Amino acid sequence: MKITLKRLACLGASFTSALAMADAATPPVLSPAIPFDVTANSPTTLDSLQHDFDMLSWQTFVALNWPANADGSANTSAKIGAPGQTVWESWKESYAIFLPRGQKPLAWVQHTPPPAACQGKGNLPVLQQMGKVAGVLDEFIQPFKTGPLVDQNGTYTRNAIMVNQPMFDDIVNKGLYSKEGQQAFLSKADNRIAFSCGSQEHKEVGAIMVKSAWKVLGGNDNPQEFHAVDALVYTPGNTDPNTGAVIPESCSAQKVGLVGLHIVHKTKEAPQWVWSSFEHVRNVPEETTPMNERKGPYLFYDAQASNRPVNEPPEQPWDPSKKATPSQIVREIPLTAATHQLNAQWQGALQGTVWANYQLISTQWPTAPADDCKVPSPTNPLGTPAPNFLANATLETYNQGITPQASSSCMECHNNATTRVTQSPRTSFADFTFLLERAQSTGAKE
Amino acid sequence: MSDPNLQNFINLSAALTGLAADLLAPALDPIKLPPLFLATAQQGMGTAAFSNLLTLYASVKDQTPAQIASAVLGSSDAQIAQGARSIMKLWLLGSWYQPYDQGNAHKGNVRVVSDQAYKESWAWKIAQSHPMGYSQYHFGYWNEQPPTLKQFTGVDAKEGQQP
Repeated sequence: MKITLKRLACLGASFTSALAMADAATPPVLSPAIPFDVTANSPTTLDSLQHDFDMLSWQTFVALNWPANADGSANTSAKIGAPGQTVWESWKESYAIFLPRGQKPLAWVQHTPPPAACQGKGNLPVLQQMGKVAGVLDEFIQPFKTGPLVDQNGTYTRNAIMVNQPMFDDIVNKGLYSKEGQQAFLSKADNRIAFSCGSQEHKEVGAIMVKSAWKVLGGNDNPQEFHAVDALVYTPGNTDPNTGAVIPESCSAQKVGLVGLHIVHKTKEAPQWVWSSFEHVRNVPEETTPMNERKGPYLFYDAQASNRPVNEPPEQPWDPSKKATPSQIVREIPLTAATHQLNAQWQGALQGTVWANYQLISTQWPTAPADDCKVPSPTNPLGTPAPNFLANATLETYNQGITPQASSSCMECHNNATTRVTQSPRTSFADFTFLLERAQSTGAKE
Repeated sequence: MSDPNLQNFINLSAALTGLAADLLAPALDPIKLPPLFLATAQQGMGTAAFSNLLTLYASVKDQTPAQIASAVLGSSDAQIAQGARSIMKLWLLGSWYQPYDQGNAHKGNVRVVSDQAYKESWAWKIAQSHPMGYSQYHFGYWNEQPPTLKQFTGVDAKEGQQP
């Protein structure tokens, strides 16, 4: 029986293990269909709903990593793990949406040229393999500029943010890609930023963001252990020594492997979005893993150097053009037993594909969602997230932990995201995405 | 809720604070303050006094909240009455006010139970505000009328009060 979370919250029913037993008996179904929303089954508790949202995470992970057709849709005649671009890799990267001088982005189906430094560089066949969107990875600094992550080869990890077409359409159709466009949209008193919500009832996929972390493959890395692609790795230049290392702009084609993946889906039952966090299984040990069990080899931890301090960012200045001391990272909040069990089931179903090398860290979801998925609750806009904290070791490396307002909580952090129109709570609220802060001015007089 | 002591503690707390039990202890509760507060009160009052408090509550729990509060706060057992006052402060302020000497704790000692207890304490919501140093409201909220007391607490403001 499908029931809404608001009703679930009223039930207070006791948890039975029937659902868990059914899951254990039934292998996960690998499907290219992106789930519209969570499917919750009664009786429900916090634990059972966490399980339901974790299922949603894995189902979405499989659907988004399904091989894509040329138009970006899932190739339903292929199986997951088949070579080629995945569904989410056909989506729009943030640099293709928030353009210099607030220009209007090209249409969804049109290819956006990479930065000038990448044009004419690299390997054209590689770019074609990447499809409509060039694999430009130009972000290496983590949230709040806490620092870059350096792999065991001494190379900076890179990030990218992609959005799906419903979210892209919302941004373009409402003019939110420029500062002036945001001002015009929000000048109407009833307008607010509210991306589309996935809905079982309407069989709609809501707005989805995907944030990915990639390591350059080299040294002893085996590309077959990763979802690996050829990408243009771009580093913006800097000529001002007061703002960081003086480095030239650069762009080079590299083979990169996926090490972290946030999938964020806005749904009717989760107006604060569903935050699904995945990592490569070999990223890091857990802080609670005894030293003699930290065998590795890990991608971001050296088991032979266990006396080194952990979770400290590299010394400044940060210069991605040079080799750096590898990061020594541990996971501060261990995976739960239930997550381990669910991961084993899905990894079993994905056996023989590279995707079996990835694991769900957890899913953050609102236990007290707003009644209207397009209007935040006035008294609890955050929706009381579960779990309270969630960090991906590759994306929130240096702010793991359990301290409110300081440690990583996807929803708490993104609840602070604003537009470029910070005149009132209505106009400033950016619906849990920092992307809108990237909108540049067209230069038009106000 | 399978623990009858915890359920009684929550219902007693609801009668003492005037806040609904399902607000103090939501059915879906990732923060889990109620068991922490029960343990805090039990330790602070001492097992025997805390048990006496819950026993008294059990004997009057079918009465109105006002009658329950009156019976507990007016109890001839000073430890019950003083402990009940500390439980009210615990929910309202997220801090334990030691009501009398108990073990190594001395009357008047105050401690913040946890960061989450501070953040989630009810005085802020009753003031239609947020804790110092923590807010989940959106940029510019300070320039607007806050939500009503009823939106925060489920309780109507009295006539003449800020809505």
